[in-house]
Amino acid sequence: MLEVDRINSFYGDSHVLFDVSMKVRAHEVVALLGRNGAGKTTTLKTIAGVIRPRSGTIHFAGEPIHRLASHAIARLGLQLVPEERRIFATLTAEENLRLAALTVPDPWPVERIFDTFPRLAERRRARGGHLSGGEQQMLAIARALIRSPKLILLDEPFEGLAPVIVEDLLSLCQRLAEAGPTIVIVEQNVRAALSLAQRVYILNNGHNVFEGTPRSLHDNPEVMSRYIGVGAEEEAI
Amino acid sequence: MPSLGQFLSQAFNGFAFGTLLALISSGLTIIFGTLGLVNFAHGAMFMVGAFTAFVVLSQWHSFIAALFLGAAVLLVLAVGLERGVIRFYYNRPPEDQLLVTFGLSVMLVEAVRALFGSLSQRVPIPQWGEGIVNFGLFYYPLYRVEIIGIAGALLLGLYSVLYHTSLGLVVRAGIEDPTMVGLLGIPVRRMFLIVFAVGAMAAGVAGVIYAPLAAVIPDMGTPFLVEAFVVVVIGGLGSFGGAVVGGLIVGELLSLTSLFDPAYSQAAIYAVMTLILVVRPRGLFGAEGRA
Amino acid sequence: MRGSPARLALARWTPEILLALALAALPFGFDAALHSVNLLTRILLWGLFGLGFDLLFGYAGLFSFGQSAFYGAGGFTTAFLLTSGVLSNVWLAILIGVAAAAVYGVVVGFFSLRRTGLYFAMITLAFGELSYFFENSPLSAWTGGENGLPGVPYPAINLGPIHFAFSGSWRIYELVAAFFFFGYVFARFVARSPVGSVLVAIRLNPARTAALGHRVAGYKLAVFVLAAIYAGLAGALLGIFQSYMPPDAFSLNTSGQLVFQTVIGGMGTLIGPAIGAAVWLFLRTGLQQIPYLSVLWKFILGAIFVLIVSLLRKGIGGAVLSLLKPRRWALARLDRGVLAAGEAVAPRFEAPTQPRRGSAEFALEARRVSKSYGGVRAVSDVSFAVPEGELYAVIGPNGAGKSTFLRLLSGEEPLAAGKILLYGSDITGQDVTRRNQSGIAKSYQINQLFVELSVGQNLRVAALARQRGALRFDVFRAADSIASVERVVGALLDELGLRERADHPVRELTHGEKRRLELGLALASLPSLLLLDEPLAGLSATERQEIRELIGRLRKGRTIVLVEHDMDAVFALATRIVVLREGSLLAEGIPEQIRRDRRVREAYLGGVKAPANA
Repeated sequence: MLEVDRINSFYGDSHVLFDVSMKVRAHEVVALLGRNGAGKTTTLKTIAGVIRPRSGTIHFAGEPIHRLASHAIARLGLQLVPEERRIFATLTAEENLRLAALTVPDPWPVERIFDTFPRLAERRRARGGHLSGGEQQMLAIARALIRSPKLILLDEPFEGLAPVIVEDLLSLCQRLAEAGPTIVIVEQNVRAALSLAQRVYILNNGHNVFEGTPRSLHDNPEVMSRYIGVGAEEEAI
Repeated sequence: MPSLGQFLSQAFNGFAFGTLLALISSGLTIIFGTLGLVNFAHGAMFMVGAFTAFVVLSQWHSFIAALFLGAAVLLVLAVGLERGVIRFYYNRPPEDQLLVTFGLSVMLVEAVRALFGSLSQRVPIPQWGEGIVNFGLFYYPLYRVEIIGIAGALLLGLYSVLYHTSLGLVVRAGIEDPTMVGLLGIPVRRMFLIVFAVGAMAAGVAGVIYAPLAAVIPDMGTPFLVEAFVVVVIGGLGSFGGAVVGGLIVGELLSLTSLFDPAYSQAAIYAVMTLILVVRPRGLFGAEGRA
Repeated sequence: MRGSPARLALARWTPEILLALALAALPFGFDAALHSVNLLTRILLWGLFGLGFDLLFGYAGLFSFGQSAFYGAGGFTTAFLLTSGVLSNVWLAILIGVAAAAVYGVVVGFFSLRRTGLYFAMITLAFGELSYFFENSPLSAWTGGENGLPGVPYPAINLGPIHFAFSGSWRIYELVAAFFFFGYVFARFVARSPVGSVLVAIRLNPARTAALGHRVAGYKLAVFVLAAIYAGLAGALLGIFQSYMPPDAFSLNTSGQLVFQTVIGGMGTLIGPAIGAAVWLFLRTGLQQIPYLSVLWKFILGAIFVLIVSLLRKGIGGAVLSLLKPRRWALARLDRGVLAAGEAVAPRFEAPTQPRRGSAEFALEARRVSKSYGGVRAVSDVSFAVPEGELYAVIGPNGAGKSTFLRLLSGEEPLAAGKILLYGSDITGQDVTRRNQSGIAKSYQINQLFVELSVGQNLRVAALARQRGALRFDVFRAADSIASVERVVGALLDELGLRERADHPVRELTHGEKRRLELGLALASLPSLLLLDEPLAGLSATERQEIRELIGRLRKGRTIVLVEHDMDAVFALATRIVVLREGSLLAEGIPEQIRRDRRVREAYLGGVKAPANA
């Protein structure tokens, strides 16, 4: 469904991704892990067309998308839920959803979203800026769902949320994953991510360093501590 | 001391002029708020609207036609400028934006001067605007009353487009976070073009309305540009409500001070602007963000 | 490679010599039948006016749209003094006119310089319009209102038997040419001086310039007033030249024409405004003789202007200069370092021998420091103390407040509560510039370099602040003539491995080189306390290794606070580690302790069981 082949991305002059590759099959949940600054967010942004890769290719459902603008990629059914959520603060919850649905031929009905997120139904007239962090995250995910995407990229959906809310969102994501769309999730909360994912990629300093199942990662505590945790060895990479 | 009648008459003047200023300024503020672009050619666009009115009204005597053609001319002009020049400037520093729009403004003014000369052109007041209204305490020219209606209606229309249509939704979201708008499948670039055109049309239509009241000359846009900037700075850059309230404040300031000494009216608005910038740097309704 | 002193002096004075020759030769090559001499004089007046504006806009990047205020103020003050009979000495009247413009510059600068960009342009524009209004109405009894002031006399030199009157077109030309020449010479002094370097730095990156210890507000006001002085002088001479002071000197069009000419001629070239004025005035007189085109001269000018803004950022003058000497912009001739001319270069960039102030136990002490943004606590109640010579690393997950904490230490943001002590003395109230002067310097997560300048110039701008203080107007020495500065620059070039790149503009550097230069800017302040914000961010493995080694070398004799995500580097470099989480101190200890700390592992590994922040 998604094929990322040796992409190199830059922020200005800063080389952030070095030949990063990944493959995602349809109806699969893939976790992309790594420390802060490892290039996870950049990978998602590059896939979604916010950043254009200097080299390498990205194919989505067979089509090359690495030269497309972000809006064109979104219209193909690939939806990024960015970190920091990026809810439009001056728009109401409902307007946020309506805006998202504008360019999709067959969006979810708003009511279906509200059935899925009863909490948002209560707050539909509240401005985005007045929603709590958890509500904003729900809205960010809902804003993606309403576009009935084929592939969702979730960037740190649990960051900065209270544990109860994380549990809620987690079960929501689980249901979501069972329902069909393919998901790529980037998360600092490794346990949460691993409980969802069928496969894992790990990045370090912009390089692929691991690919496998959550189980194989558990069997490999050294990889864990080296690329994700603190207790790293002292030698250079 | 001026009499109550004089005072009310001037206050009314200020109101009429204020709504017009609000219309011009709303265009400026929409462009700035959404695109982060400082449009120094806004006054020239106002002037182009006024000259369109001059041409149309002296040919066909139809004010409605003038309004629509004024909007159409500005639409074409805005699309040309945006595609040709402006779109390369969205990410440049404000100084560059000021410079290039200043240059475009000179080109517009001079093109019009080449076509029509520097002499002042008279535009007749439409028939339905002739006459005087008796307000009891003072008499007032009918057309100015109608200006309030027309400009007010246009502002309301602009407001509804901005706040009650999906274009408005996109524009308001675009003011906040154009990248996210793109991520939701909406072509941001095209949206920018539309916003620039809408802002330019607001200035042009204001020019059409104002034409019968003024000497229509190529340089007429400059004071309006300056005043519109003052309005926007007072109201808060990028705020639609700020443009309306600021427009009314500046309109009243200009006409009420001229009740005492017309010479001081310009000074008054600059003094108020500087004061507001010192006391409340973001303007009355300004939000965090650009600028 | 280096010429004799005589050749160097010749090179330094080439522009002045060429200008003097041109000014002297122009009258001979001039066809008086075709154009009036007055055209030349007018060009020079605009050029003089523009010298100040170019320093203001081309160098310091301050886009004023209200220079007419000072042009008019200088002109009308002089004209009034002379026509009202208050004064008969023309020279004195000019001097007073210029002084009036300068005072007015201080007033307008006080209001307008608080803001930048559009706001600055608008406030200056407003003052320009206000001045026009004052001339026209309240002051019309003195200024003649719409009529202006006719009958401004010409100056004369009266020294006993010698009497020389500047009357007639040619004499006025000579007078204005002399003023323009000396105005140019002085502007060149300013541009080449440390002050000129700082002005350019302010345009390119005001925040970094302030953080490097330059008093940005002071320099801005100074250059604003200087521009007002040039404007006032040009205005005063205008009245004398025309024997009439026109009210539209104050108009918006005057400011607009100045902007036009400066941009067309070339910003940051000093001679540009005069070139632009020549283009403007010749185009007008030239095109006016061609039927059909006569009405379009200003339209054509507008089109040229738009093209130049879009494509030729340095205008005609800049384009010519860059053809004459490729790679060397008008601003970029500061690179003939005095040390390279013979003096020995310090072999190694040694740690500064900072006098320890008092008998303080710690180099840096933060006491219960807090900061919040819109109700959210970014840093709350963090205390820690760094003994001299230690390297403390601050780590923590995203959003833990590490970068904010560093900004509080550097003075880029004020604290909400708490105290910061440097060698025992309280620096809480000092802003970023003062703190740099006190010995704190920071390198940034995202490069904050002066991109148009060369590597050497970048380092020089940084080194200048420490060597000559936060604010100083040493305009009569070249920026590269201060031995102590050049020593620091030279030593740093070696230490950073950038000697080969010294003359290259920053944009030609690789990312790794830029990161080293970023560190170098902080080092050039010779700080006793160095703050490093993610120095390894965005680097490849080899580049990381280089920077790590560099930091390792720099440790000797310096106190360092390091924020970094690269744990390998942190554990290798740090003597102690501080862990922040959600703005609070989670743990502190030597690397071994931190590595074993369960809470730290939790914070990094995250986990569903993590405590709530709501």
